[in-house]
Amino acid sequence: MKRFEPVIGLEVHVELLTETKLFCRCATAFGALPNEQVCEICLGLPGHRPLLNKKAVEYAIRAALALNCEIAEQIDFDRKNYFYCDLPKGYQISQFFNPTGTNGYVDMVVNGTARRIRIRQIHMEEDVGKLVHQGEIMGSATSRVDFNRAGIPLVEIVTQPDLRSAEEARIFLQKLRTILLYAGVSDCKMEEGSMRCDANVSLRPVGSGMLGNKTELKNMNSFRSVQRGIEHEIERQEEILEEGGHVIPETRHFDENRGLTRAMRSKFQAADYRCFPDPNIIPVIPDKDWVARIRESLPEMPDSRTARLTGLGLPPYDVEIITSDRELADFYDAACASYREAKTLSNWIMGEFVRLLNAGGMKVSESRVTPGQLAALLALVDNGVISGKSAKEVFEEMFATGKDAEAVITEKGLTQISDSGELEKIANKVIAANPAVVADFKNGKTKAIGFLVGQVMKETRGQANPQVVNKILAEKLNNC
Amino acid sequence: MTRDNLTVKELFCLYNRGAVTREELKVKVPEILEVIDNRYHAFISRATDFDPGVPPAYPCVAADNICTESLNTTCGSEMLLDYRSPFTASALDKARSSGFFLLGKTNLDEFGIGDCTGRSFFKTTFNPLSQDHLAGSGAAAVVAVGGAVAGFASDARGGLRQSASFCGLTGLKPTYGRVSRRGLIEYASSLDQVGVITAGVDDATFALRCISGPDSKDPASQESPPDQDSTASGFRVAVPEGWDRVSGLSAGVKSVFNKTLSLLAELKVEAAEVPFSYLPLVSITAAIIGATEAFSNLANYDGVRFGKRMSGDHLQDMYVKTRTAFFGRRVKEFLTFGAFVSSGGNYREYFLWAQQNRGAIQRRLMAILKDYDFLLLPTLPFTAPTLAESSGLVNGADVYTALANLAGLPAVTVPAGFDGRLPVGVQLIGRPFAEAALLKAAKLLEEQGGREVVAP
Ligand SMILES: [Zn+2]
Repeated sequence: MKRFEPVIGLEVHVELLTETKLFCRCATAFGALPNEQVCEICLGLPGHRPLLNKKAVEYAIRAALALNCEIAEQIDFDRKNYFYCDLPKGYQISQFFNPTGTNGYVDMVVNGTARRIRIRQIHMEEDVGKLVHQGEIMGSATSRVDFNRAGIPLVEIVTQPDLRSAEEARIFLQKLRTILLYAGVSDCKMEEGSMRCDANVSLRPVGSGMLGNKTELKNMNSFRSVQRGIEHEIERQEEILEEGGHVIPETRHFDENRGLTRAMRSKFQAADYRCFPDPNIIPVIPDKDWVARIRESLPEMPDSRTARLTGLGLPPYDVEIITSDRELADFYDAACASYREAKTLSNWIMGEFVRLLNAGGMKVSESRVTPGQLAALLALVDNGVISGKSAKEVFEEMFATGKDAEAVITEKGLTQISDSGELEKIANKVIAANPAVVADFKNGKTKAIGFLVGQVMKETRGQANPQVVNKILAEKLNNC
Repeated sequence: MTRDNLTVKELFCLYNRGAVTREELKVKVPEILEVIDNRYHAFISRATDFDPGVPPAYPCVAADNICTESLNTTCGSEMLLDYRSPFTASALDKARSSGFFLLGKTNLDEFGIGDCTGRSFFKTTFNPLSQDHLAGSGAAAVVAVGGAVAGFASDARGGLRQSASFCGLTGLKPTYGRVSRRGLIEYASSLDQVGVITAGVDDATFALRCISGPDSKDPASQESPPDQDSTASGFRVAVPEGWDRVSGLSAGVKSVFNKTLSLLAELKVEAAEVPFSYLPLVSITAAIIGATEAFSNLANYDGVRFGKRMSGDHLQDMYVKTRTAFFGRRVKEFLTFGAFVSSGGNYREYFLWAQQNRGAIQRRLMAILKDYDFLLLPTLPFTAPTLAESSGLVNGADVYTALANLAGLPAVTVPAGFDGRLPVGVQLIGRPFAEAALLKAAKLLEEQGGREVVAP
């Protein structure tokens, strides 16, 4: 029995998918040459005026709505003043006093238990530049700064300290990512830095309502690393507390390679940001119609889809896989509109479809097969036009070419023969040609029928419906 | 009249009429400007090419905190010693397309932060009306001696109007938002506005028309609503109570202001004292807000991307050395004050307090302007200080002028008389975007006030 329980809150920065920066028209595209996407505004040159990107505000509201937040009556911006060389203006424009969204929540399931994690707030801010060093930071003679990233719109999502384990934190983050991907506001790539996560970690005696000293954990660049980083930090704090020590409130870095957290050396500790309203930015009053339109334009969110797919009788595993990707879920729903066998459909989508996508390194949106085409193929299988086995072959061809199932079946001559008249003729021929086998069957070797079925299949080059063949042969053998 | 005694303004006037050739202009103008600069220390940089192109052309200067691609923009600071902006301020672009020709960039308090002394890292500008006294700004000095039709400058707490008043000129601070601020290196974003110093009200009216209007690069700039002339059948003037109890108010200024009031009475203009309790709060309120914004606005002078840099042992050392070395004393005092009043522990007591004062002042002024067309006040409590006089952190020069900045209202100063050899201005403050009415009333005061012309 553990004496302490972890209390974890996350601060997640997410880059918004706008084409231009938050206060200028510079492009946000990834991969440009250093300082190629800069201007007087994002470089903070004297005399510049910020021009608020309304699209970014819309995306922030979108994200806030997707996280069940209340939207601020007035969206305004504040200056967070501090000096650092990646910060062009000497202040970062953020939302300190009136965040875009407050009091939201994310529902999730951890090991079968439903959990609701409260979102304290979501606010916009501009990203800073990127320091470029030659080799190790301390050994580098000079620092260079790339300001392409400076001014890119971010939202910071702050949870309440509701998470109780490293695993929960990881699951929350994955759920958050799914929600934001659904909302279409960010691509949430942790590896590329478009989603970054800091964790506030503290321990308290089990059952206590108090909060212990917390540390802020940084430098976790993947979901796995978030879980591992927090696990290590919990262990470290546990050891300190078990020995009767005190946790020092500080910022710590997770060292992925060594699997430990380290206190960061901080030269600029004076954290008096002197936040005050930015006098150059005119507040936006989000009118109710606008917010309503944004809300309406949101797709069905993962939780609602989960409930609906579960209602169709899909097992939890299938539901989780399908809803984890909005495009996949959309594909499922579209196919489901014309093909009602929910489980068969999910088998095909999770099996063949995802396998082929992965093999080609493709996204759902890049697929040449439409949901309607898949539905049509499955209907053909159900109607006995082709066998399930050849359907896989047909689907591969459809996936490669985008052709309809019928066209592929005709081309390949894969139509299954279910016409019993035609099959009876062949069956008669096979019976006549194999008297010895027929005799075996008559003598009680019922398995002999398999050989005869095989012969019929051979005669029809595999196109006969095996069930129909079986039935015909059985009738004939029993009656002759 | 020989052509040798002509001012730049007169030369351009003749050029526009075809009486002076382009070649003559190109030779004479730089000669005169050099004389002006040597005598009054008015310029930080002067144009190198004096071809004004097709007439009409109107000679102008701009304070050196307004960005220009053609000339350096130093803000009067060593920090920006060789700084060349990659863009030109929208207001100057507009002025140019209306025929204004930029002769040079003029001296100003470093970064515009001062109490209108006209002292920069480079020089102190002398008052053409009395060379023992300050001009307040290079732009005012140049306009005062006919060196330009218009001096475009900024007015954060009243500097533009104060220096116009020191030099016997018209100084107009438009409504916040009427003129684009893009390219103005302001220290106090919420107070600062581009305005103009001219010899008379007509020139100010013309210059304002040329620089007004919305600018897609300054979201705070607006299309001005159509001028509604509320004053066609006369106007009413409110004089805030307590104007004569302001500390440092000189007898000379008081007497000129009283004379103006009698003048209005003769003209049958109703001028009534109205209750107003905020005058003692104006300077400190504007200083706290101005310094808080300045601390943040001037944080980009860190030696990283542009401007001067001192190398240091590490990043913070570089910042400290750079900002210590290249900001002047007055700027450092003001930034320190700004850091103090906006720091975590003081934010409520100082910055928020100032914001509340500002709101109260705004509301009260708008209430007064419901019943009256204008407020009338002296421009400053005193005339131009001597070169020897120095100023403290808050010396009260802006006690009358900063009201308009705090409330975002248009204001104009016109000369109303003299205290000895030094001119005294009076100031009218109007309703938002009611510059037309404001300038019409200013014109009336100007005609009645009478002025002396000073030539270089
Ligand atoms: Zn930019």
